[in-house]
Amino acid sequence: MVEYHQLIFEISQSGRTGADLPESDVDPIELDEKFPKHLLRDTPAELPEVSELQLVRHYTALSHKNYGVDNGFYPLGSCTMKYNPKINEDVARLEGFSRIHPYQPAETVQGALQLLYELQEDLATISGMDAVTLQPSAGAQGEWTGLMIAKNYHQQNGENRSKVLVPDSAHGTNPASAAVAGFDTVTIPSNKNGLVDLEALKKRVDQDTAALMLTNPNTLGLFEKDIVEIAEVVHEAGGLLYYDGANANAILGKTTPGKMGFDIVHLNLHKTFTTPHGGGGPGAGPVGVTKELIPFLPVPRIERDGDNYIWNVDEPLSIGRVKGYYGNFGILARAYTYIRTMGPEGLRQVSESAVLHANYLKKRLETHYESPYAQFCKHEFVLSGAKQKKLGIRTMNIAKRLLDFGYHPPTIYFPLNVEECIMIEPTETETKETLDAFADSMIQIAHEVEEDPDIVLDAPHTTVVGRLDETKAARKPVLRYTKSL
Amino acid sequence: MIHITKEAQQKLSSIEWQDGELPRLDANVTGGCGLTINYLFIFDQARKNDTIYHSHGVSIRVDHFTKSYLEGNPPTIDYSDTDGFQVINDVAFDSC
Repeated sequence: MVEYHQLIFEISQSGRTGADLPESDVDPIELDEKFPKHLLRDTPAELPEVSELQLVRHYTALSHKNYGVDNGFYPLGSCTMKYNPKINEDVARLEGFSRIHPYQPAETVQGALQLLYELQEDLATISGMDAVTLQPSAGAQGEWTGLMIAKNYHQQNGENRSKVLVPDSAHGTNPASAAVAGFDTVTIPSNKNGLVDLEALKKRVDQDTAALMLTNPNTLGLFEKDIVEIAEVVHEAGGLLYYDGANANAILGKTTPGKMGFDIVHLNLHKTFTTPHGGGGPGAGPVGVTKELIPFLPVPRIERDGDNYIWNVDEPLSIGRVKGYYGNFGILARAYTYIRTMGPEGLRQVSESAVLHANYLKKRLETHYESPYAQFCKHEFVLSGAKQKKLGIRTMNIAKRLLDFGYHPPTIYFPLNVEECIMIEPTETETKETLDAFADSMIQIAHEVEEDPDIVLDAPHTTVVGRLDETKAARKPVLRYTKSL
Repeated sequence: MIHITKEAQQKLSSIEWQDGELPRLDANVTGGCGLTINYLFIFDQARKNDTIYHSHGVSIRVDHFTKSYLEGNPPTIDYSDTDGFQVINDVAFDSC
C-alpha cells in the first residue's frame, strides 16, 4: 500500500503504459521541419508511466484524502458548509441544460433563460431587492460589482465619494473589494456587545461616504438590532448600504436586507443556496439592487418580452459586463433547484433550524470555553480559547485535536476582535446526534487541556500526516516536484 | 532561538519585575481565510508548558505554541525610546 502515499511520478516505471494506441496510418513527420529548433525538447518530458489500475488506485486514494461535507461535520463558521442535495446535480446535468452553448440564439435556449429569469426573481424576493444580476462568479466579485454600481450611481449624481465604511468584524473581502473598486476603507469599531458602535459610526460618516458594507447577522453571529438607525445614518449622509450576504442563512423568510434598509445585496449561492464550495470555482455571487440602482446593473440583462425571454444590452448607465456569458449557469441551475425544492416555507425552516442548532451548541459549550457574547446568537457563534491559553494551549491546538475526532475544525482566529477565536456554524442540515457528538468532542478536549495537555499539544495523531511545519512551508515553499528530492 | 538587540537587553535589565512576572514572546495568530503569526512582546505570568530562554542576563518566557514557530526562524527583539519594544519577524501562511 506504500505506493498510494507516493506521488504518481514516484510510482512511474519506464515503459509501463495504461493504454495501447493503434498503429498510425499516416506518414510520420520530422518535428524539426515544422517547428523552430528552440521550441523542441532535447529530452523527453518526464511524464508518469503507470498502468491503468495504478492510475485508478492513485487518484481514488487521493480522493479519499479529501474532506467535505459528504464525509462528515464541517462547522466552518461564516462558510455555511451545509449539505448540497444531490437533486441539484441531477437538474444541472439535464441534457437541455448541460448540452447547450452560450452562443446559441436566445430563441433556442428559452428554457435556460426562463430558469435564469425566475432565479433572479426568486433572489429578488428573498433579498427584498427590486432587481438581480446573476453575472458575478463569486461572492467577492459580487462585492466588487456592487461597489462599482455604488460608484457609478454617485458619479451619475455628480459626486466622487471616496470612502467605504467597514465594521472591524467584517469579512476580509469587504475592505479588499473596496480597495479594488478604488475606495479608501474606514473601519467602524464594534461595541462591547459585539455590534456596530453607532456613535462611532455617526462620527465617521460624512459627505465622502460612498457606502457602508455590513453583514447582518454579523460575523459574531449577532443580529445588528440597530440596523434601521444605521441605515438612516448612512442614508442621511447620502451613502448607500451594502449587504454582504455571507450570513443570509440566518434570515431566510424571516426578514430581508430590503426591509432593513439595504440598497445593494450580494448572495453567496455556495453558502446559503447549496451549490458546491468551489476551491476556486465555478461559483456565483448574484447582486441585487433597489430600483434607483437598476440602470447601473451589468449587461446583458435577461428580460421578459411577452412569452419570451430576451437579452437586453441597451443600458447606457450600466457598469458593463463583469463575467463572460451570463455567469456560471450550472451553479445557477443548482441554486434554482434548491430554492424550488424548498419553497418559501422550507427556506424559513432552514433559517429557524440553523439558528436553533447554533444556539444549542453554544449552550452546550459555553461552560467549557469562554463565550464573549452572552446573548442568543443567530446561525453561528464565537467562543474564545482565552481560558485554555492560560494553560498553555491555543485555539490552533484545539483545532488540530478536533481532526483526531474526524471533524473539520471550525473557523479560527476570526473575527479578529475575539481573542483566540473559535467560530462555529453547524448549519441546519446536521442531526442532533451529530451536534451532540461534536459537543462531546469539544468538551473532551477542554478536559484534556486541563488533565492531559500533551495529547492536545501534539495533535493530530490519527491523520495521514501529522503536524506540518507551517513556518517552513511559508518561508521555504517547495512548489515544484523534482526527482532529486 | 531568540535574538535580542543590545538596546533591548539594556532596557530589560533595567526593569524591576513584579512577583512572578517576566517578559514573554507570544505568537499571536490573526486570520480568516489566511493566517498570520505576529509576535507580541508582553509582560505576564507563567503558563503551563512554558520554556524560559536566558540570554545575556535576560529571561524570556515562550509557551509551547510559540516555540513551534521559532525553530529555524529566530525573531529579533529590539527596543527604542520612541517605539518601545518591537519584534521583527512575522510569518504568514495559508490562504484561500
